[in-house]
Amino acid sequence: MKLFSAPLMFLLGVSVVSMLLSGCSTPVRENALLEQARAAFAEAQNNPDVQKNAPLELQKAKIDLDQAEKSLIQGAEDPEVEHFAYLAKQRTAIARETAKVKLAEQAVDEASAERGAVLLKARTQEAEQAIRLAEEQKRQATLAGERADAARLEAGAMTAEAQKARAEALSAEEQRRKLEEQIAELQATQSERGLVITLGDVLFDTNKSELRSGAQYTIDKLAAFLDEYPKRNVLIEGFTDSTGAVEYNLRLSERRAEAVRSALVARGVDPRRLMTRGYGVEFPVAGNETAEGRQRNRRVEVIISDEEGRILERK
Amino acid sequence: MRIWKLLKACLATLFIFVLAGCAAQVPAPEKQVTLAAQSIAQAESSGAVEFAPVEIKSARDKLSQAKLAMDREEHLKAKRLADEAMVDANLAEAKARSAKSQKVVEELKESIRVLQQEMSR
Repeated sequence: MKLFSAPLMFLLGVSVVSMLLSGCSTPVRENALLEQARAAFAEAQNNPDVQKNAPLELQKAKIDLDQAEKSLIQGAEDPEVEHFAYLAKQRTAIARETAKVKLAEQAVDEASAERGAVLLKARTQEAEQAIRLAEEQKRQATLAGERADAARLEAGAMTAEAQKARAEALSAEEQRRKLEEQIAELQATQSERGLVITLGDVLFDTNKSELRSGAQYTIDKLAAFLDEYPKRNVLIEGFTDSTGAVEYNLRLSERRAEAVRSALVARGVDPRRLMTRGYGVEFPVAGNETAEGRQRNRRVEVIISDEEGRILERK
Repeated sequence: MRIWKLLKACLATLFIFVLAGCAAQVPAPEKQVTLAAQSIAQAESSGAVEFAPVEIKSARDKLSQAKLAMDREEHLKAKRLADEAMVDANLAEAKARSAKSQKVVEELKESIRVLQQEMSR
């Protein structure tokens, strides 16, 4: 048959096969993985943080996504479409993680600055505290020092006082002893009126008022005593026995007291410290019936006052 | 006889089409496999094992599969697997980096908190 020549046959074959092939190709469809990739990318792109911090990574993801879309439209097989969709999905995720790193780095910078500020504040606080503590300690030390000084002064003063008191006590003690010695030497007896020295009859001549030389010792001692204790005064009282007239005896006793006074004045004692009295026959110390008694009554009593110069009156 | 001629023509066309399809023959993806392996190594040294175990495992698995496919001359499949392995490794690395930087932020914030606490004592 002339109709079925070789070239014509060839052409027919070609068209048949082409039609067959094109007929068997899969129609345009959707792909689940591609939908996921598309959605993930859109979300990432709309995120300002990702857009700002990972633009290059997003770009790479877009390239894969576009390729997947193109494959789908061109009717490529699932493995191819899904391969590019997978790449797009993973690269979108990479863009997200990259953005996170950048944000974290910014946060680190901010936090570092904050930490620096806090540290500075802490150190300033510490320094101020240390200064305050040092000043407080200094103040305390000064205070303690002052107190110590004051205490020491006090102690010193107390010691000085104690010493003075002791010295005074000692001297008072000494003085008392001395006084006692002197009193003993004077042969004075302590009475309620004061110290009493009795000058006996032997010191006067009979019926005379002049003192004998034997009395000089006592007069000297008494004068010295009165010099030592200038505050003390003296009352000199004269007495007689009952022999003779009362008037006469009174006169005699007065004159004898006077004699003692003169002797003391001669020895340098201030006359104003010396008082005299004559009591005559009054106030006998013994009975006048015996000679012995009468001798005893013939006496002069010298009464030394107390420290203040007082002498109690004879009752 | 003429039928035979038609059939031969059809077969020839088919053969041409097939050839056309194979004209875009994928070469053995040596480069992609190497790249994938490098990316995995880099991700591991960034701490991907600790911070992105899923992604790094996926990368390793896909790399093994890619090598197998390459051995079987399934070059297109091998290429795709190698590319995906690389991308998985990159993601693992990015996750590890982000996790570590987050840790640094937390530690800094904590140290500030501690400092402030001490100061207020």
